[in-house]
Amino acid sequence: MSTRFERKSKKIDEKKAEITKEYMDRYCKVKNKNSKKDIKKDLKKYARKISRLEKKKYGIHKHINIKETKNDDIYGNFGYGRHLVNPYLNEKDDLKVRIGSDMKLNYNKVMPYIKSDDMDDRLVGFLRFAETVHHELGHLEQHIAVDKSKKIKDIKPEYVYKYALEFLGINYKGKEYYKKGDNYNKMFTETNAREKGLDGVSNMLLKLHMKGLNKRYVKWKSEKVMRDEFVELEDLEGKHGLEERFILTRNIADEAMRKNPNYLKVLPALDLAYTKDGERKSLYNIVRDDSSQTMKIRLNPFISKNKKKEKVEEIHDMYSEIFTSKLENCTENEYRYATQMVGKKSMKKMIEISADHYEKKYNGYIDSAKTEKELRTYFDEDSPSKINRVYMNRLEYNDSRYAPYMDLLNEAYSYTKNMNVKKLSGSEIRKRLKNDRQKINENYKNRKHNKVQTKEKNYVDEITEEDLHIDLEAMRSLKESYLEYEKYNKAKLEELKYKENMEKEKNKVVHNKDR
Amino acid sequence: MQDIKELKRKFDNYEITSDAINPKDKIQIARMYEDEIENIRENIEKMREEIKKYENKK
Repeated sequence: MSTRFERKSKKIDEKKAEITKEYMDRYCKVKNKNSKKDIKKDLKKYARKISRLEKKKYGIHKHINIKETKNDDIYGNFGYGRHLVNPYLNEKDDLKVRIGSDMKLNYNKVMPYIKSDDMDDRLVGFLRFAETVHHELGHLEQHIAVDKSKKIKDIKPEYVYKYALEFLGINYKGKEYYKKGDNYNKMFTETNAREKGLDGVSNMLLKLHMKGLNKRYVKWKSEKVMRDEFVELEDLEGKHGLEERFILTRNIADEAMRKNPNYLKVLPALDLAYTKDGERKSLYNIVRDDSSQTMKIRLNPFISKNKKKEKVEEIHDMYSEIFTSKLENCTENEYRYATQMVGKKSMKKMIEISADHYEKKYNGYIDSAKTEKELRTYFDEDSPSKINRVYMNRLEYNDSRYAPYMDLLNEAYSYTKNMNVKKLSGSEIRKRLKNDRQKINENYKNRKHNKVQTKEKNYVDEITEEDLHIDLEAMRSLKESYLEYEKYNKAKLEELKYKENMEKEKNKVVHNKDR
Repeated sequence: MQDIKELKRKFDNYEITSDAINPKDKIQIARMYEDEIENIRENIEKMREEIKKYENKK
């Protein structure tokens, strides 16, 4: 059974296809004899009609200004956009607001194609123009998604998080970063918008039963599309080796947030991963958020079983990224503390979900690459055997990535070795300690004087370590975790006191002014 | 008592492992940890209550 959104999308896509057919008949079937001025006006009308329908599909109410640009430096597209639907931070970290969205189209670039005697040229030109419109609408959607003030249908939560990280990086590092080297081609927001552009055109052509044309266009375009994350990423500091793009993006985002937590106001979607203080959320909070969000979906009686499965997986995909980012940047004590709080079972589950998520991704690249050339763009290698080796390495890397954390889970780090630790509250710990002390005391009463060998000394008790049920290492670790938690709360309290004092000072000044 | 304190200090600083501690001393050290953890927890509870007050004021 289709959803309301799917039914609405279908109707809109059909309307878009109708309009596109009308324009293709006008400009591609035969060479149009109208003046360039009239053609420009008409193409603008086309862009406006398509934009209006796409906005209706996704529930976007922001106005888009469709303007002309003569700028030739726009990476092979027929236009570009400035989608400033959010406030932003300038160099002085002031919160500024720029409202409005521009779509700038280079009609001069389209014209030679439209005016060509060759039908193929006319088709390519017009379709690229249509693609540009969809590409820019894709960007608009991204900006609105991170704003969170509107719910955009059919956007994966993982994508919203990635958009937010990239917009943060661009804002923090500046346009130079965005345009440096080949960064533009490798930004997720760009590859995503490029896919939306292509999908937009494909959907319309398929609705018009133009399978052959669609195939040709997609093939021609795919050869130009640089995809995904295993390509060298160059930034202002120089070239980076083969690594997932998001490690770099994430590091830049962490730096930006630490310097100015106000970015949360600019990009509210960042609150998925960052606290109000600009620090990455704790492992405990991340695991808990994943669990509570998926629980909400499971308990929603209005979502079908299949849809629930899909949505739960989307939430897991997003939190896998956030969780792994934090996992690889936390201390062992943080990890142990988080495991104590959520329980070994939940932590293990989160690790398995994350490992599956990355394996799915790597497999996805292999499956979706239709040609060897495409595979090469993912893995940056030049022979099938090398590609296979890199792919196997990636899978092994994925397994080994999480292995140390699984090992820690398997260690008897919890207070009592033989119990399944779920959530240890302070009173539970004390209770167990008390029970063990009693046991130990009873053993002492019944003890005989026998020698017991240990690694370092000989003792006169028959009590073995197993009997004692005391794991000093675990207790030390627990104390350290509590100390960290104490430090965290102390810092939080100091901040609140500081803020209150600042308010009082402010009010004093205002009060004195009024006098 | 001094020996136990010294032993615990070394253990706290990762200078020795629990293998080097005899079972009788382990028990004492475990009690000391228990007391320390309890004190820290009480501290944390007090701070959390204060934090709640500030947050409710908002």
